[in-house]
Amino acid sequence: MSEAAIPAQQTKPAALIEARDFSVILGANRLVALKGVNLTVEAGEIVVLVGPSGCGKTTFLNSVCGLLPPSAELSGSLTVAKGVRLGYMPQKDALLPWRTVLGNVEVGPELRGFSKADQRAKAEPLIELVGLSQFRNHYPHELSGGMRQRVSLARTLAYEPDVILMDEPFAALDAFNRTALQEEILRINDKTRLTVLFITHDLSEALVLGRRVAVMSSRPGRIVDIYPIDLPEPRSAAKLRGTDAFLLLFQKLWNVLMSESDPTKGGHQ
Amino acid sequence: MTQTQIIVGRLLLLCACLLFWQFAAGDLIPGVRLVDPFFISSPSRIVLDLHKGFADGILLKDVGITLFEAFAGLVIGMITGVATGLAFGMWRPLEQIAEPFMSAFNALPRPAIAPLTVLWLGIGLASKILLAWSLVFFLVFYNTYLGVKTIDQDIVNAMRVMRATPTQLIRIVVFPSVFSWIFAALRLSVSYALIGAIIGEFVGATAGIGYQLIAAEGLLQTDRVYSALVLVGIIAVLLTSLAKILENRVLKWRPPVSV
Repeated sequence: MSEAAIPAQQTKPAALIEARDFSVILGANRLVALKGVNLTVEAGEIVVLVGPSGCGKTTFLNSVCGLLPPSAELSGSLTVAKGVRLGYMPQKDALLPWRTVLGNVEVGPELRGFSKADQRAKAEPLIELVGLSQFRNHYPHELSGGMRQRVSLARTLAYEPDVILMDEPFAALDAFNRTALQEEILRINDKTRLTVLFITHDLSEALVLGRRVAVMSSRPGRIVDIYPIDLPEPRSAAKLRGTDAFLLLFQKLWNVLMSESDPTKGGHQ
Repeated sequence: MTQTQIIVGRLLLLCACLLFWQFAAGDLIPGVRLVDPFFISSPSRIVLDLHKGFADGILLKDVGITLFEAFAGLVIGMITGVATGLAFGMWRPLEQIAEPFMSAFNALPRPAIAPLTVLWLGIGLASKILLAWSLVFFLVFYNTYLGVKTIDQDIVNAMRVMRATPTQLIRIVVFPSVFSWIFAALRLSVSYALIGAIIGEFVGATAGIGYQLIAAEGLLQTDRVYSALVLVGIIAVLLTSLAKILENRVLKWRPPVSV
């Protein structure tokens, strides 16, 4: 099992996020967005939620973040462990356009109430980590999409979250930058164990990053199955894709996804 | 075209216009004129009149008064405009109930209100400040309001997830966003404040460039009318250039916009 491969600091990994039979009904036309979702995210693991567009992945993430509209009807349970800090990396970088790279990364520690000096001390190494030291005084509009997502990643890390929620953060990037950023995540994860709940509709991305991959069906979104991804570590986003183990897993999960994402299935109930 | 070429071109155009004006008024070639300078004055007459006006100390005082009125209207207009704009942008019931009234008040033609302001506040500075305020306020109000409304929801969400308190959200996201909109409107605000002050002076005043202008018109002192207009023009250009420099400095994070 993939969990066994993680050098656990604690004897028993604590569930930071736990959904039990969790359902969400959205809006005036009572759209069932999620139905009976069971999923846990434990400390030190990268869990990927993969599914077709519009299957409710983002609804699940927004439920964890507390960003659902007030009209949403919830049932079952969704608990985020007490005192857990959540980081959030959306598809659009959501950087502050009036702040430099450095200023944007400092937002994380700033929100936690650190002094200006501490904010800088925390931000600088992370800017270096994502390879943007030369651009620390640039404004977001002066950067490419890939660089902006790197800033977004550094900002998220600077907040020192217990869990990072990623909502298709690389979906808007070109193939080259997407792979480069996946590589970045893996590299950082090798250095400091991250806990991530990652959402994507890209199965290959899910397999590259995930230690466990939860496959979601199309609307109403439910989790079909959760697969442990036993691929050789340390991983490399570029190399992994050519291996037999990867291709076998890809085939297997692809078939599951296809059988569960019939676009002609209705979502309204 | 290079920057130098553009500037040279502008200067040439200006000189050509001034020369033609000088010629038309008969002050370039004695005995040859197209229009009586009583109607159109002439560049040299304006310069002489400005010199005389400033030597008397009258014009300098008037410039100072008009600038004071405009500046006071600008500052008060910006403060109240920002406050109201924030309130409208962040408190939906207020927006829903009061927005049409704002539009209605904003649509009132200011020259029509000018006599009322004099009636309320007398012919002193206050009525001009009120008029300048009435123009600046709505401009700043709408920009602030838009600034709040157009805040990127993704940014707000990211901040919320990172447990930003309402105060932090306002300080880190709302204020800077609104700030950029206000500065984008600064140039226009400056011109509006000046226009408001001058319109106020037209209606009833004892000093100010607008007062000098209207008084000179009454006495048929065409030279003085023109020199007052030239003064207003110069002041407007100087102030808006200043506002533009300030705007570019403060908003240097924006992608460059070619105008």
